[in-house]
Amino acid sequence: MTIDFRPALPALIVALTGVVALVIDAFTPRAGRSRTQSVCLTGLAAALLVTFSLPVRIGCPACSPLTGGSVVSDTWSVALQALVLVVGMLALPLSTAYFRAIDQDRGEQNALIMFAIAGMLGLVSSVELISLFISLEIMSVALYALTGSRRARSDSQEAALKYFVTGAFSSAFFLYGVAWLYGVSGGTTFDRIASTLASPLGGNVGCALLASGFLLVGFGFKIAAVPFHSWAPDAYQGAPTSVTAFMSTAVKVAAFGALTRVFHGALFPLADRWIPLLAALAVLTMIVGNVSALAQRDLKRMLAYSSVAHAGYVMTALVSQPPQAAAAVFIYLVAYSVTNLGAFGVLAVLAKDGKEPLTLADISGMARRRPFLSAAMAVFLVSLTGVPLTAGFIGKLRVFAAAISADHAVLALVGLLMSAVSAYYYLRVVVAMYMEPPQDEDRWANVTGAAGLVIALCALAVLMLGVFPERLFAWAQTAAQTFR
Amino acid sequence: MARLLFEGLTRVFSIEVLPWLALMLPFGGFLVLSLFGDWIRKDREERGAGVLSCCTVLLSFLIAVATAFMLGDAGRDLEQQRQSLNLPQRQGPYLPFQAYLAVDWIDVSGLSIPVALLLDRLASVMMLVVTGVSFLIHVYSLGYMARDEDRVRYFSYLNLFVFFMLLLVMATNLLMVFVGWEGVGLCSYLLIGFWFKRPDAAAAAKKAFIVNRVGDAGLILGLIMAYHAFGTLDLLSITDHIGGLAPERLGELGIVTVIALLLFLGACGKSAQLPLHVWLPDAMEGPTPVSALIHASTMVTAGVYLVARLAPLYRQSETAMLVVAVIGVLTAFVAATIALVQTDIKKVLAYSTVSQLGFMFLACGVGAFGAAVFHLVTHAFFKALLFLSAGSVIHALGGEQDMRRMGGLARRLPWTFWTFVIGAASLAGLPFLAGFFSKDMILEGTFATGRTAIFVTALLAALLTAVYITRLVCLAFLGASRLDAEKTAHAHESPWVMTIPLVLLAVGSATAGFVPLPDMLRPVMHGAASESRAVRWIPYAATTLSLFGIMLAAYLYLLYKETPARLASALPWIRRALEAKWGFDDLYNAFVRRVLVSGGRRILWRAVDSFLIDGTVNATARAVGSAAETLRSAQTGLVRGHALLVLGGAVALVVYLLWPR
Repeated sequence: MTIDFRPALPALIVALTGVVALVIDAFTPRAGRSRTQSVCLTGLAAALLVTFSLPVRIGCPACSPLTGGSVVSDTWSVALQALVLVVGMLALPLSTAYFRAIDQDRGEQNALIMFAIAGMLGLVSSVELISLFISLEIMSVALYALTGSRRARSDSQEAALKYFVTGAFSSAFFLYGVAWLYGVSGGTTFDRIASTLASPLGGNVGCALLASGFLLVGFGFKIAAVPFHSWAPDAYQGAPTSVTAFMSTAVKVAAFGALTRVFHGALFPLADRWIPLLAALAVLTMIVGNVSALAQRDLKRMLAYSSVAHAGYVMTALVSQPPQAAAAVFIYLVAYSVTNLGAFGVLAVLAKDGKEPLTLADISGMARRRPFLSAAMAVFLVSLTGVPLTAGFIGKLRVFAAAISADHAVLALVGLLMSAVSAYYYLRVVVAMYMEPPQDEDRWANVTGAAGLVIALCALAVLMLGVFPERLFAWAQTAAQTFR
Repeated sequence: MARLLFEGLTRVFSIEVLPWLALMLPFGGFLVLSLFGDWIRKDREERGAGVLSCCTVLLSFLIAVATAFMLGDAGRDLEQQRQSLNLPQRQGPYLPFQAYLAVDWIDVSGLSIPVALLLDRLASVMMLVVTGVSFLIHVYSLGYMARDEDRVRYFSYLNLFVFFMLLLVMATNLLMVFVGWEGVGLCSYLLIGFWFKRPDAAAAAKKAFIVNRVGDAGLILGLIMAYHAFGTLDLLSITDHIGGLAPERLGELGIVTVIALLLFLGACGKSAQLPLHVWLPDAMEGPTPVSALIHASTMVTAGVYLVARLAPLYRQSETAMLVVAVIGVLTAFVAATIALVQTDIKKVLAYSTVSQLGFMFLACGVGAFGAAVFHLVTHAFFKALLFLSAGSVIHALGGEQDMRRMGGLARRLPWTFWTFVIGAASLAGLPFLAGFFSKDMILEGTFATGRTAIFVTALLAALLTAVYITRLVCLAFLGASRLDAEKTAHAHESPWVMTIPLVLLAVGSATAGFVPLPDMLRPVMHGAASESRAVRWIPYAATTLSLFGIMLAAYLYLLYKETPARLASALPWIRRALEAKWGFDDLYNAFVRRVLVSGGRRILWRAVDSFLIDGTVNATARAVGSAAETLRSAQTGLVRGHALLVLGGAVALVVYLLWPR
């Protein structure tokens, strides 16, 4: 039997780059700054190139046995892998800038980001439950370490511990769900599961439902859907801000990619049972996320609850039929990633001498001192609100349209109302930046170099996607061809 | 060479390109001012910013005039073409232009939204009003804002506003309307909060934004539903094909009714109709020219424009029409009563604007869409005039806005006084001034529907209009002076850049009524039998009412000044209700504070997070006893809380999934 390793190549390249980065740092004088950023960026770029050059087979959700049927390269995996890699490439310079600002640039964070990305790449290309779970854990373990990587700060440690303990708890649920599904179908590949579930199940239907419930718990934890979201505010607040930027975007992309594949691929025969559940979770997530964000004074915590709310918006798309749902999910993930990465990125790059903006008061009057950064932040916040001509609007348009087309207009209604609510807390930040007197002393860093370029690119992408969404729609349509 | 130049010019000066030019000029002004603002600021006189911004708007206005004339020719050409090709005649000479700079903005699986401009008579009229009034207000701002520190920012926002407003009125599809709609909302927000160092201004800006979001939610939903129902967002396709749908009976909530009502909710937010009117009076915290431009003559009429543009849609649904009419007439009446007791000169005018917008929606609701647009135009003239005159008063008195500390200004500010009187008379509806014609047409339309209650309320509102505006004139300009000595010495007539726009607007307010606008617009509104004719006695009745109102107010506020106070103490509950503005603000504040904010804090944060989760955890911990105590010292309570939440969620999911059906 020959095994085709090609679909796993991007993940392997990225993981190898991480190892190389570790080795390089081991031989670098300790006082010096880490030099691995360019190595890691090269690795990601190579992985991106390989992702696009792999043969893509269209139209099989859980496809034939390449690499023993564990990992495939189809349109959905290519699209999401590309998105994860791009997000990673944008996040790396932010991370370097931030860790330099807190004087802890030792290179290990770059390696950890690489390992997390390797896990994510596996996650979105797995068509089999064991490799899916392993990828999930590779990603998660790296993230736990990243969350706690600001070692001097106790809140970073605390956040990592909380994230780890609850994460392990939810992984247990996930694995239990995997076991039940194996028990029902006698296999772990998605096509096997789908064909078993499509045939009459008899008494086993209860077991299958139990399994899908457990899987939903596991995924719900990773995407921070209410009521599995409670780790997110603590972890997002305690983690180094650049890690939060990466975590709040790339993890959601990977987890939603896998969630879509599992529920719209393997578990679709049970759709009429889990769709109401997803709808209810979406409503709950949108409401709790947005209303909790209203009451926050800490900026990172506010954005954390906002990320929870955005998971709810994505979930509204999942109630529709496969190709449309997948396309809407992808569009929203692209729009949300560039926007949220930018928003957290602005907070990260402002850090200087170990201090960073934490509250509204810290950024009041920022527009006078940092006009470009403030303008970029305003663009991100406006996009998160969902105002037309920004990526956020295009994303919301598509997910709500998907929900309405599936006769779940209530979801769209809740989403719209909650978007109106969200305008309040996003707007507060803009008001603080533009309409309040600046502070006496200038405490924040001057942004230059790669990090500034990343912010500019994100802002540009938000506007370009908002004004010319055509290309994005086309990509999404291609990506969704897997689900036909 | 010369021929090439000529050809190039004719191509640019064609009806396909000129509207784009009119649209983009103010945007160019905005870009220049916002990007090179620092450079302009170095010029100490700082005339540059204002002059540049005036020029862009003036050019837009000239283009609007030119296109208005070209539209007539183009219409004739098209008719001739149609006749020569034996095509069926349309009802009237109106035609859309999808200009050739059009690009596909969104084009995916059936949803195709091009970026193109629509130019018909309605859009042309709106263009003329927007650019014309904007130009005069830009010029006026040169004088009014002359001593403000941040003129560059002011004029850049003003230019951006004109761009978005033109985009709104020239949009071919609902999504572009929406973009313009949000854009003018943004500019309104920025300009209300222009003096952001005043806490009131910042709060008012935020209030305007938030209240408008409620309306916008309606607009978006309406938009989605419209696409769902018609398969297109193109305005002309919707209005052209609406006749094909089965007419609905009263009381049935069909799809057309739902769409019409949702879009009307959006219009209520933008045009400050009951119960979303609360932001407009507070918006007066902005500079007075902004109040005149955005919050009186242009942006707030966007809702009326939207409803009038979709007239054929609204005609399909009696329910929607009735709702529009009732909300309109109630707003007209309620706002007029509140205006009676306001003491701030701009607040009176703000409530007056709300009331007049109510009249416009009433006109829409009774099917007199032409009359609504007609009143929109005349109102743009006289309300801009009133605001600018009031601004001239405020300017002269160094920022004083309280009418109780004015009085006797007629002699000191003659130009301001006489122009204000013309505007006031036009608003009160004295014969042969602009407001007379349009209001008369609305009353006739209302009478024609035979709904007596609505008609009587409208008449009452018209009477109150005359009373409150006369009260304003009496308190501010007539009678004895109640100014401080210092301010009296200081009071002066405004410079000519401010008085000339006043005079021009006064001419407009006096004569705009003679333009037969409703007849010109009839083809756009797809004709109507109900906009029909003359009940002879209504103009006389309306005039009598106006005169009666004026005399009553003059009697109360000039001759027997104690009477209003005595009336107020005799009827305390009416006074309380009016001074509390019928309690809308209190109600909303209570709702937001008690339900939303404290609900968020108490229920989600304190109750759910602290009480429910931590409480349950603690209770469990106590029950488990001493073994748990050792665990507790090792873990923080929160982690257990999180795990418990995950467990609870998992149990809920599984119970739901396994629940027998």
